[in-house]
Amino acid sequence: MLRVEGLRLYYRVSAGPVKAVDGVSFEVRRGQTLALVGESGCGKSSLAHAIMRILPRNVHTYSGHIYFDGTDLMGLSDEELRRGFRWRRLSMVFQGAMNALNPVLTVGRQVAEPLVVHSRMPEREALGRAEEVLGLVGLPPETVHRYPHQLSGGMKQRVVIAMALIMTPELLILDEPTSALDVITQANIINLLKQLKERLRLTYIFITHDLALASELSDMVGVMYAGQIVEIGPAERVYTAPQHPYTLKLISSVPTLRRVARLEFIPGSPPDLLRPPEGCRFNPRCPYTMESCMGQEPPHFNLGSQHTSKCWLHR
Amino acid sequence: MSAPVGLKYTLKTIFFSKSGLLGTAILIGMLLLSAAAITSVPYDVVKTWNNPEAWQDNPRHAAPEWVTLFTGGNPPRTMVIGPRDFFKVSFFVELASLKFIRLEGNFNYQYDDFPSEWAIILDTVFHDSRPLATIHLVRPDGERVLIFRSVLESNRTRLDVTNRAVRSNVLEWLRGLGVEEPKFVLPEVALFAARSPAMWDPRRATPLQGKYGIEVELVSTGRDDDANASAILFGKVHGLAGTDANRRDLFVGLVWGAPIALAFGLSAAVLISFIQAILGSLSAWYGGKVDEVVQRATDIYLILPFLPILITISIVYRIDIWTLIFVVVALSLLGGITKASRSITLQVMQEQYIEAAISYGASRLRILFLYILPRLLPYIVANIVLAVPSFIFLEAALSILGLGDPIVPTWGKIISDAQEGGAALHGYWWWVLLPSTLILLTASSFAFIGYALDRVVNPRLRER
Repeated sequence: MLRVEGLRLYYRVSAGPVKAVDGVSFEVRRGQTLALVGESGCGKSSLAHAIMRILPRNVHTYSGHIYFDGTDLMGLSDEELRRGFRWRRLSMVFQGAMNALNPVLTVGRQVAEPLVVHSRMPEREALGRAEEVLGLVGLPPETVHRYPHQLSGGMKQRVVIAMALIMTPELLILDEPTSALDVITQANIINLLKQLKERLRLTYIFITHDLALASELSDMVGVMYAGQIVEIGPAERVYTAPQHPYTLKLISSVPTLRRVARLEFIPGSPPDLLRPPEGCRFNPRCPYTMESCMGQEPPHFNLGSQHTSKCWLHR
Repeated sequence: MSAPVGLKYTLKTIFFSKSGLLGTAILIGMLLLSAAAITSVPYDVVKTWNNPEAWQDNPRHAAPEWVTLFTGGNPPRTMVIGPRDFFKVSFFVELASLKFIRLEGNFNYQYDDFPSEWAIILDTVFHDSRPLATIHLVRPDGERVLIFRSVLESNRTRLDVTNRAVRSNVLEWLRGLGVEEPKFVLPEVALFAARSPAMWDPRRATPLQGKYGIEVELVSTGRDDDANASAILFGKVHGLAGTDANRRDLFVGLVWGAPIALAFGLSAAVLISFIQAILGSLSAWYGGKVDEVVQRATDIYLILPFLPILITISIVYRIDIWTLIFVVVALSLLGGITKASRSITLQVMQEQYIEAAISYGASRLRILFLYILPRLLPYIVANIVLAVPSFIFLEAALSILGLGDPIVPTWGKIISDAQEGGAALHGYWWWVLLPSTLILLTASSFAFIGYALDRVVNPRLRER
């Protein structure tokens, strides 16, 4: 359904280009959920923005291909993308529900905005539709008349999801939809997302830094490091038998309740995306660094059943 | 970015703080005064403001009536003895073919000061020849003083204290009484003074209280000739706000000054604040060349010498108050608010909901007006409130410089007139103090509300 090939998004700052997304390729099938996990600052959100083409002013490079049902979105003009795809066929739930709502609009108007903007639907009709969608995400109809500050965090997150759903898209990009919420509310939202997926036959790209959360929802998992996907594969394989050293380290640094073990951590810090390390970008922190890691960037090695890993260890 | 503030919260903060309450109370008073001015005094009165004829029956330089609350005493108020108060006897002598008309008006003078002036007006209708008029004043002590004897030149004759014939008649009467030789003659003093050697001198004479009579006798030749008389004794106090050198009732001018000051201050402040905020927001939101152009233009506007330019324009074009607003706005299209709202917009722009709006395809203008500008409103409103007094002061300052609207009675114009009329020199305090007080009151009401609003808009002052 969505195939991304060699997507690059560099930002221009005074010190040079920041390689936020650097040659990312992956594919999502209809009805599947792809979870993109990684540390803060590894380019997850930039990737989401690159797919939606919501770019800041200081774009340095924006290239690659994004095939949506066979149409290359990169070949469309801004207007064509806006008219035909964005929000109509693929939409996005933004990070941080707390700030994703306009504080001066009522929830109803806010949710209905895309409809009013896109199809010039009369406001009353749009509000009716907003009420419907709010019902879909489990909010009472009178929420329409509330202002964002009157809602709790979980309710706001539901509103943001309703806003993304109002144009009945096929693909939903969820950018850390639960990161600002407490655990119980997180669980509620994840359950809601599961239900919606079943009911509306949605496809998700789920961006998170929370591995446990990703495992709840995902069919496929992509692990991002320094603007690249280092390992991608079916969720059960990536979680049970991680192949890339970074994935390995990442998973073992997550605390669990059932096992008494010293929590591991990854030495060093994420690389500067202005000047990423030569060769494999993980080489300064990797316990298995070899000579080839220093000079040459590893390709994606196919490990079978759609599982690939970007590490010289698999050679 | 601070959390958005609702209208209810804002109003609550204003009404529950002392300064806000005080400011609102004064402002409501001003608004009531404006409403009263607009509804009770028709605009024609304002047009007549500059017409001296309309104010003839008022005393000159009269203090407000309520000064007696502080000084005590019973200063003279204006007395009008109208044509109906005069008792008329007329007969025609066929043999001599002469018409005699006798008019007698009485009034009771009980004040403890001399009138500021008086005037006797004769309206006559005559046909063949001009009538001979003789006017006497009969005092309570029995003196019958000849004020005037002459042939009338026109149908309407106004005799007042400056009339040379009147003065010489009064002088002759004083000499006949055998008092001190007067150094000067003040008919309004001498005629109403108790008999004493110094009765010509307003400082030493005391007023004579009691029943006075004005006797007018006319002799003419026409059978149908007729005449009417009226008299005015001008007081030394008048109305709630006194009068100025042109006998104008200052109360009318002051009351009308309120809506004009409020309208001027508010419209200038609202227009300027909104224009500057929108341009600043636009500048940040569109960025790039737009930003550069707007910001550099703002820099230029900020160093423009505002007042000298305004004064030059006022001198060259003699502008009225509404043109003045236009010029003030034109000279303040860009300024400090542009800079501030640009920075606020830069902050608001980073919020997720703006990104969301871009992604679902809201147009740039829609985002600007529906998403960004509402966030600037608290700041804009606070600015308006704080800017109103400065524009009221500006109007007053220009008026005092003689560059304001030449027709409309504004508070500044009244102060300017007072200065020209030597109010400070002669002690006509009401002429200066009353308009100044009103300007101060209005300005401080907005300042008080501004302090209260500051608590809403300035997060550092918000109570936790």
